[in-house]
Amino acid sequence: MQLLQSEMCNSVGEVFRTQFSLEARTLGVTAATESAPGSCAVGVINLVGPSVAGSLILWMPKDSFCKFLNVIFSESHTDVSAANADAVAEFLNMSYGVARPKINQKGHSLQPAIPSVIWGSDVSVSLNAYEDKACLPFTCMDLPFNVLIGLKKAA
Amino acid sequence: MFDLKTRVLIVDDMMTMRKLVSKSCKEIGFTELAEATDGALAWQKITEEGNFGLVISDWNMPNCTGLDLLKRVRADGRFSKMPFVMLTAEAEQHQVVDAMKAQVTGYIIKPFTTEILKGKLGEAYKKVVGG
Repeated sequence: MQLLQSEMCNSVGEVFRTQFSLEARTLGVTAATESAPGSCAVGVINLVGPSVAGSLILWMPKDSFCKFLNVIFSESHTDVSAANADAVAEFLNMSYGVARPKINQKGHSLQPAIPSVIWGSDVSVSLNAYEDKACLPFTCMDLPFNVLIGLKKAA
Repeated sequence: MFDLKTRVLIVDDMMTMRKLVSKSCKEIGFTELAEATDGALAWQKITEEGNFGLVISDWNMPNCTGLDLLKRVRADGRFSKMPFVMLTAEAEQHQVVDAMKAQVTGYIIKPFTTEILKGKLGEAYKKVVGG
């Protein structure tokens, strides 16, 4: 878990800096692993490996998500919709893509994954089903978003 | 560098990434851009339209991956020399090797900048001209 936390902290920062010229700052690790229901965009990757299984989640509140898109594309986004929601999956895809080889170099065999997207006006995220869980809060342009990690032992 | 009138096919299942790649291609100066949302649809476009001078493709896509698309392109005599650049989050060494074995022209790991894309396309062009 610590390796995953550390590499995801680094990779999210690298993706925002390189791809979008934005500074995403990590605020450490918190034990909070549930989000209040609200309007948001959520990207989910199923973590699959010989010794571990779990979920890697990028949770972006609507205001953060729309602001990032407005800056990245110089467009005006005011809501999460089918037309823009896949951006959260791509943010997560790139971050996982940066982190995965570094994790696997240290003896793991995490598999490639295609992220899925959830969005809506009343979406909440919970990691209560997982044995080992953590939340990595970030801020970018003074707007929050979270990376959530839930792990359980592979069957 | 490629002629900026070269017709470019951008293949990615994520609309956001197609927009990012398209934006960078326009910043480089390319004017003829087309898009496909997976390898199967890209193959359809390539075979039906046949006038693409460059393919920039993601790897990890449903239906037909970028690697499968590359293998199809290289196996068809009509397109076997078509410049094909993989633009992907798949960054493990064995994956780069697999793409090289399948005769990829260039390999770019996400995240990328327009400058990185321009530089890698320049290298790909030299490889095509030199090879």
